Amino acid sequence: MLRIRDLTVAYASRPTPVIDRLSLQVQPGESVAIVGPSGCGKTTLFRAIGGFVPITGGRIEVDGIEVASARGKRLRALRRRVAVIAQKHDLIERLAVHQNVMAGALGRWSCLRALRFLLLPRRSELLEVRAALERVGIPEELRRKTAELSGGQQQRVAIARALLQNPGLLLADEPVASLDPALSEQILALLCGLASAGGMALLCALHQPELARRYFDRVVDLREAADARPAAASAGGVRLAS
Amino acid sequence: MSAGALPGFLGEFLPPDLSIGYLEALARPVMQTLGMAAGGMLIACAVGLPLGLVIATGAAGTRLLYELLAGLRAIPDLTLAILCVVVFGIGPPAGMLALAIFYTAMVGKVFADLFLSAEPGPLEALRTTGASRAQVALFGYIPLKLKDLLTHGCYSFECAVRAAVIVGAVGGGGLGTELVGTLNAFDYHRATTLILILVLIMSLLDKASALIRRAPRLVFLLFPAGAAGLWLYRPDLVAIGHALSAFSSMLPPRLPAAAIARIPRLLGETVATAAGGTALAVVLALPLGLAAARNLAPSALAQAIRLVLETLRGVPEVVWGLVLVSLIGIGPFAGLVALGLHSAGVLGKLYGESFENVRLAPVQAIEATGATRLSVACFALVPLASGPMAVHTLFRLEWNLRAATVLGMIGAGGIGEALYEAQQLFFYREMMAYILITWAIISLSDGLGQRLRQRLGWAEVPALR
Repeated sequence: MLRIRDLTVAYASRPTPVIDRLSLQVQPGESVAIVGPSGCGKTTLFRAIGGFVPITGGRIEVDGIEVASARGKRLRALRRRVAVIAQKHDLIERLAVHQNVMAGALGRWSCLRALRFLLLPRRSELLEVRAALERVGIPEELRRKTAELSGGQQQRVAIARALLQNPGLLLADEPVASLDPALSEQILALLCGLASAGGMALLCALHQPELARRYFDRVVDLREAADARPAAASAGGVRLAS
Repeated sequence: MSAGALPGFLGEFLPPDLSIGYLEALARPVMQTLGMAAGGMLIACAVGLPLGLVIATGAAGTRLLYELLAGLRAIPDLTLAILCVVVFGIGPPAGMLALAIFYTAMVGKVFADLFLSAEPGPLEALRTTGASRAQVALFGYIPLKLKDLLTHGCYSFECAVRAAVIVGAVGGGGLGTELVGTLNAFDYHRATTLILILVLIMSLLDKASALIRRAPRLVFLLFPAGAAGLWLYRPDLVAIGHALSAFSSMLPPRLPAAAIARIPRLLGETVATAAGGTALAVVLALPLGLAAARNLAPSALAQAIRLVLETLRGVPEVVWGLVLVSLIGIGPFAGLVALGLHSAGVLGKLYGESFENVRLAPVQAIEATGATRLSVACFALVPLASGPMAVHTLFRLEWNLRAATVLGMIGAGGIGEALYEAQQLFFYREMMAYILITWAIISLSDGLGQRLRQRLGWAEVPALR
């Protein structure tokens, strides 16, 4: 699903590359955690996979398609296969919950259909959104204003949006950074469960190595990952599907 | 006019003509003015919003588009109105098209700036879903910036109503044409009525804007008004051929040697009118601003002064100019006073707000010494508020240079007078040359002002009209 070879990303403003010769593969149904301190390149890695950061060297392939060479419709089609849950969930707070969740379908919709949905959502579409919200445990929030939700609820809306995208690869950038411990575990169990049950590849950046070891098939430490060696605990990675 | 004759002349403006017959007759020009503004703004939003989005989403050639809008914005509305009157003939269609062109440039550029300032995170999150540029605009840019879009849209509509009166002064129809007619007929009582109606309309618009900002859906009520304006004042299709031939008669622009020799004097008059008008406005606005500051003046006084400022501001420079040309006579001095009065209303309000926004601690420290209110103002409020006041004044000077170029068209001297004369004499190539000169000096002034602000590290603030 995802194949990264000798990936190097450097910024002109920094003397050393943010990511230096990283190699990594993630298979469908597999969940991999990326750990490391702040600034070690986790977010840059995710943005590079999405085609938002120019790479300095190496190669990233999603479903056999090289990200760096994809442009226009080809890049859009590639992004449709890769859902992202950002650290700050990055929802449009002025929109209602159902509108934010349905944004996950934009990649397969025409512009006119998107406009029609904003003005007059169909019942079948709302049911689809509701099903996604049920998977993250907040179906009752369907019509609420996103700005009125708590941080944890907003994070779940972001996850529902990613699920509605029906991706082959899910990138989660510190999805539990702003959540309490109990909710963090719940969310991680949910994501890993969805990955294993749905055959989706999951790449998740985390601050907490102990959580990573508990929930993910493999753990990669970016500090020592020029060659993406699996961390010690990941050899027999514990898998807790919810 | 001698100073002794002034009170008698001013007395001719009072009382206003409030007879039912006249007020009924005014319904049509009022509707024309509002219709032109609404129709022009509908076109401006329908074209400017997508242009702003195209620029923000970074499609190919957007830098050029942005510069084009900025350049178009440097042609004053009244200058565009003269152009449209020549091309499409006298009447509201010409006025509405002039407003549509000016505000398309204005709305397009400002909306583009707003979209470019949108938080990048949520937009990138939408792009990761594979959304197209148009979908990112629908689900991202517009909801993220809706509040700012409405605020600026309402403000632009208020400006467009004022501008709709102004374009009437050169044959664009509506209240402006009516006002010029009453002044030319020495019917000053009716001129006062028209000015009062204008102030009333601006005051009502101010209230309506506040309402729309609280309940954004009300903005949809403006669409039928805009559509009605568009339908009523649409340019006659059979006149399109005439319009094209009229426009081609302006090309290429050309100035005779005698006219070229006059240009330094005309530009000098325009710059002097702008600088003098701004200086007069500063002198008037400083005490008025202090008296309007609610944290300094007694509440009743602040309220009364705010009403005075609103009235000064509610009457556009060109309308003050029309009255003052009748009062003082043709020449740059009338223009200078017109700019001074209108700008005093604008700067007085902004200065008052600057005084209200200063940090309280240093002010209280001066108050603790037992100082009088005036001393507190001199030693604390004015120095503390001087930064924003300087920014507002510089913006005003820029704006007044733009306004001074058009005041000439109603007899207040400068480059505008030469432009108007050329139009009246059907010297269209000469007229086009003056339009280009006007565009060049306004572009230069805008560019210099922007560079100065960047060098001084002053943040941009919206310039009130």
